[in-house]
Amino acid sequence: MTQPPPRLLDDPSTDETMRGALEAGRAELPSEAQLDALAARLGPLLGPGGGGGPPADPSPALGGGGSAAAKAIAGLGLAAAGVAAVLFVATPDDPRPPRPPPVEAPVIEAPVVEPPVPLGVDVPEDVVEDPPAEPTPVPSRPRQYETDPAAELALIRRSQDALRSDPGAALALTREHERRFGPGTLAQEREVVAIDALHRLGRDPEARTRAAAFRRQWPRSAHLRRLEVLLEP
Amino acid sequence: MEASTQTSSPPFAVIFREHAPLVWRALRRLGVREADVEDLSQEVFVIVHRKLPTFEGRSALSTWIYGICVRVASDHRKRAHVRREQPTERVPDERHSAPQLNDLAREQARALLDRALETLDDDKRAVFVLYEIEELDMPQIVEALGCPLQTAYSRLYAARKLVQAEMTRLVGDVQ
Repeated sequence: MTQPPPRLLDDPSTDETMRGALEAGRAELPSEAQLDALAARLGPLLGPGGGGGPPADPSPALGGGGSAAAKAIAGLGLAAAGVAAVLFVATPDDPRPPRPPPVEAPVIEAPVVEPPVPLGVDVPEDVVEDPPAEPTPVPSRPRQYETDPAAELALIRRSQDALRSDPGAALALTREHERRFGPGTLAQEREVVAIDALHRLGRDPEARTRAAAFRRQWPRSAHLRRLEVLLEP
Repeated sequence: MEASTQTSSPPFAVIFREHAPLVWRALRRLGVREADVEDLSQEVFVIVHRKLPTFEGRSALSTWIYGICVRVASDHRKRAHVRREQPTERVPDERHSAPQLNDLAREQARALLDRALETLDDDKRAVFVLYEIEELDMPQIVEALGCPLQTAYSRLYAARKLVQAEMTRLVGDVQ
């Protein structure tokens, strides 16, 4: 049987350069903010009812303040039915009553003033995104938005998937979400994607304005830490 | 329901709390860029959650999770669009205070390590990282990677030589 060699850091003959490098490699651990952001993305798996086990320890690292919407979008590996169940849970940040189940009647949409940006098309860099006063502006007259949670989740997932490879397309998808679902259950996630996309497009002033509006609307959101990390100078 | 777990496994929230920092660090040393590590950590834990009901406990839970890390990182690096991180070596500035100097020195040392690790293929890199950074024992590494013990040893010795040679070369270039 081969005896295991001493690890390099336990071996006195290891040179100082190697020793310093290995020690530095071992020392790199995520910050609390990074762990919080990760926990927020895993919300439905960590929280009550999400993991099938007992409730998560209310440690800050577990992002206990995560909203049901955050939980819904974070669990991308979950079956749609399971996710849909989470979508209808009211959240402390969201004063709106729980949304009704999807209706069978055809959706009636109010006229759209601005045509949506075609999907997959980059927004020109010089076009300044007009940040709304609030992330989910209230229309001047009642409007009926779509209420299909699976469709809403699928759209947000597409926008998240597009973020890294094509932030312009991701931004366009968030506009589509806003047009179709308005203040939907995943409005927070839509705003996070939009802010991230603006940042990736180098449009930080707009990203910051939109992040400030996000904070006003959802001051206890689990996504705030992620936004802070994203936009820190 | 998929989320149910074996009674021998701790709750998922506990698993996350205990392993998230290690998963993060392992992914970084396995070549995942800082900008991608949150995404990949999420992917690891989604897999852990999904497969936890089938975890048989033949190895330590951490060993099993490290195995998932290795596969996720390897798949990630194989994707054509993933750029490999190019660590930069920064020379400490005299204007920095002592704590900043320490931070810079650590960052520089880490950049040196990552650059040397880039010379390894995925198999050697996994053994080196799990043994020297994550401090797994060889039988654990064999469990995590699913390779014969002698193969793991061979990869470790080869990886050490390559990493040492690259570090020597890089330090020589700087001096």
